[in-house]
Amino acid sequence: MEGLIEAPIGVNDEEQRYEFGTLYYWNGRLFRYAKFVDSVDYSDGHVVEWAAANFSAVTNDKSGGSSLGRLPAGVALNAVTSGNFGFFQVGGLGVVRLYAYDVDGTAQVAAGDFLVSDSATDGMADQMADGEEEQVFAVATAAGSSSYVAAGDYVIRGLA
Amino acid sequence: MDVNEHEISVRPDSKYWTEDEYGVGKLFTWQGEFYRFVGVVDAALAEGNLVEYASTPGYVTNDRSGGSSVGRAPAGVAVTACPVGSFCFVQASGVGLSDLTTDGGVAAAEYLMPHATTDGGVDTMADGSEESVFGMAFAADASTTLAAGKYILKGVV
Repeated sequence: MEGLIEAPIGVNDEEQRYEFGTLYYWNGRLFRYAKFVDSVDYSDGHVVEWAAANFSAVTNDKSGGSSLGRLPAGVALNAVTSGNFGFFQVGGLGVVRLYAYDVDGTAQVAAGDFLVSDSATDGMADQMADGEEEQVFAVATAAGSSSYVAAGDYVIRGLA
Repeated sequence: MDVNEHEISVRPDSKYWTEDEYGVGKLFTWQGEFYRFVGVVDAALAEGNLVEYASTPGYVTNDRSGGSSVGRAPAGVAVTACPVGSFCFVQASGVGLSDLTTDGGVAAAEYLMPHATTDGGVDTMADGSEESVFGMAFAADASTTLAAGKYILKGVV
């Protein structure tokens, strides 16, 4: 594991500057670096899924993109340009807001909910349903708003 | 510590703090394994307590009823006693440093989760509770103790 000299938030590299698959540490949290692919605009708080079997690429695109499926890689930290490279968080107290709201007719995120990557909405997280336990990537420690779970109100786990 | 430094020099099982020395909720390493620095609410921790996330970010509780736990969401294992309102490290990966308190029914190769009613205790995973697993037992418990070195944490980091 390598400590990052620069803050991982805001990185949007046109050329690769860090290793793929390596665990990076910054300010008590864990991160990985990859190429952000497909055509859906990225935002801070988007759940990204693995898009390449060699851990070189991630995507927020749930349909029509190159996602390998409901294999959560982490949470995007900023608006990385599609085709560019950046960091995403894979462990610790959430450093940015998390995109998650009541998209499927169930209740909004509540404290204690386990979270998975939503099966349909690009970049979104959703509450775990029975049978999705293996997909859990985070737990909420406070209720979400109508759009997001706030930074610090969720913990990423199981991805490092 | 600088933001890119993760290895702590102090033994995590040696002390607690009365001030937020490292930043609550942050992960650190010691001897190659992860520890989480946390604040303690509801009740004092005993070494070996399985703690759950509390409703305040970066804080944990061993209280399974009437406290501020958000549910069966494990945050780690206490490796030292820690009073309410104080701060300490809890173990989040690796082979367990501290004895766990069980319900007396843990067998080797079982998955472990927080006990639903015993404060700080652990139980074997039941079907439908897979998301709450925090460890795996390498041996059976003896009475209500699963010894240090006989389990490994998983999925907490």
